[in-house]
Amino acid sequence: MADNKDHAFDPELIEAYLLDELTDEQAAALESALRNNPQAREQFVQAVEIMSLVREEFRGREEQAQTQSNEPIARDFNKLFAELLVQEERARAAVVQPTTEPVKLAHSKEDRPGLREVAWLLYSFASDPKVWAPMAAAILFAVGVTLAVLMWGSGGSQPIAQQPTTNQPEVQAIVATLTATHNAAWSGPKPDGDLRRGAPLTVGQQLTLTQGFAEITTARGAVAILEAPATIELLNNDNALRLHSGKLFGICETASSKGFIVRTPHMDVTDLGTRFGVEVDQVTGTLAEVFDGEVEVIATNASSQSGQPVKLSRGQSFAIDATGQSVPRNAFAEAAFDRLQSISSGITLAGQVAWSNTTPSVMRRGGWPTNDNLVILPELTGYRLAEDVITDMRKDKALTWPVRQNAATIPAGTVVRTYVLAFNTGSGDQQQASGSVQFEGEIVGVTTAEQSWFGFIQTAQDAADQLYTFERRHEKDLFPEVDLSQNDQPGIADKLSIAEDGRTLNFELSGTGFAELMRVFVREPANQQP
Amino acid sequence: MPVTPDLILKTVMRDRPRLHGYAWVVVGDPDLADDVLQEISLLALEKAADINDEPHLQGWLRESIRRRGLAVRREQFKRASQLSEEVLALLADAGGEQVNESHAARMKALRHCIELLGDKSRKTLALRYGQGMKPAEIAERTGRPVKSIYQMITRTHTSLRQCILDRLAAKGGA
Repeated sequence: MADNKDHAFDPELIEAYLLDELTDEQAAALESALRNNPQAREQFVQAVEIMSLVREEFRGREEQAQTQSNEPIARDFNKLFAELLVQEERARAAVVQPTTEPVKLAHSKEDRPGLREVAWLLYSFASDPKVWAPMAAAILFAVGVTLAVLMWGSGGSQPIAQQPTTNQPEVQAIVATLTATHNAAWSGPKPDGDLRRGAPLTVGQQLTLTQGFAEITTARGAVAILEAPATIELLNNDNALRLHSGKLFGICETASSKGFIVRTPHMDVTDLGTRFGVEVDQVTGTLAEVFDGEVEVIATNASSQSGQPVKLSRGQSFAIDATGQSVPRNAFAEAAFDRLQSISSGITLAGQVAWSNTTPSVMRRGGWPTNDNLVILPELTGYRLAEDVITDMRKDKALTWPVRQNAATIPAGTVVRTYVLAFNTGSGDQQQASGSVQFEGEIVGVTTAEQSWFGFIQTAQDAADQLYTFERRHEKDLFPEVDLSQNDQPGIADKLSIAEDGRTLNFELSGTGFAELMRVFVREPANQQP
Repeated sequence: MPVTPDLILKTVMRDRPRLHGYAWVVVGDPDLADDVLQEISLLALEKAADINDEPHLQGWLRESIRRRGLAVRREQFKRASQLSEEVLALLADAGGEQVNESHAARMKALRHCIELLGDKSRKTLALRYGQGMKPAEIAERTGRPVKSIYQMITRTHTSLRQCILDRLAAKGGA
């Protein structure tokens, strides 16, 4: 449709672009036109501007029609913005006084289903086609339940259980939804059949997960992923729950979910917009760790610090032992939640493999020797390869020494996620690691490198210090700087293979004093789009 | 002299369609674009002391939307944009409509122009933007070819834009 010669383009491509429906040829034509023709850029921006204006008007009309009311809807951005400012101030006040519940922001993400829920369910679709239909129903049900709860509780007061009238039976308020499970089994009053994906969870309900993982989303969008064995209780609050025992990984990425509270026997953990882990163990006590953002912890049963809020940032932890004695700034133990972190990303680990959201210690300066696990570090998401990448292996080809006999090329333009996997044997004793990593999409290639203890490791280590950090792992400019498959380096020994499903990387590694590095390229799942 | 909260508010309100449209292009979802714009508007208030004047503010808003939009896109596991980040940055610097009128005046003009549309065009826009249906879904609903839906939407946008400009010019000249 577009004419590349004079860098004009068909205006219909704009609509197609916004719908992510361009063919590769159309995308290239649009890209070329916008890159080279200032007038095309003006045309594009003006067209999108009018689309935004039209959308605002028709969204307002639609909402007005849905209310079946003659009252005008406050579509005026003046009012929305002013309201937002007031509520933001209230939310800030809530942060200062952690016992005050945060205020729901207007016009925010709670108006629609959480994308994380959809992504998780789509991930499960790929792994088990038999559950497609019931899960699709579950999505609709979960969305409906969530919206119903939001509309019900839209007044903003958080204790939401309704007082029964004398003529009405008591109805327990729905405060959360079971949004996903993975190999889950439950015990307790509720039989397994009632705890399917999409099941509404009500005030006072207690759940014991005896096997697998489960994801619960509060009515305000906070996500809590549980790892068995774990017991939780739903509270009279649409953004809180009690963790009696076990591990919980909290994710609060929307404005409305901020302020999510996890109550435990020894402390209350209040999210301030973050990813964090909480573990309750009857023997060792309670542990809270922050992987991103901040949380506020208030010891509720500790003699020395009871009631005093403690703010934790990324990389910090707080522990209280089983006797109720606080142990502030306990050493950060990332591995405690590694399975929960990986499952929250849609990746399943088995065997001697650990998840890392921070620089893997195998690459950290002064961190040698470190692990006898394979460490997996998420690197890039949604990255379009700028040039062809020559890999060491592809699907259905095992990688054994010598390598590169199964080389394949990932063509430029492929959109991928990448992960760095590292195995450092460090000491003089031979160490081994075996297991598998099931990724969330098709593995399109793996590059490898093996770096000796006394060889060029210093260079690699320096590079790693600069490149493999949490803050920068999504920066696209780091990518071309690291090439683990340089021709002057030997490839990894031992055995790697990609399973029949195309998503699972099996590994059997061993060595002495070597760091074995892999970069796995996973095709960005097209069906992850909302 | 740093910008005032009042200036930020007025600028964001006046330029809202432009800013939201740009956020939509970057993040690929009009609802997420709402969130990004809301977030950046609040951030602008926090950073007011660091923003010198209105031109600086306008550039700051677009650049912040671009950065935050790309981050949101990644966080939401959305597929990468079909436009490169270089082109997205170029679009941030494109001028767009020269707006002097208030947002309310433009909305009023838009409503007037919508009334001038044919019934089919108006219903198509209602399905597309009111109900969030894709052209393929609209085509199925209305029994028309997808291509014709694309054409109708595009033509309607063009005529609405011209109508709004004419309307505002007439009002201004009156």
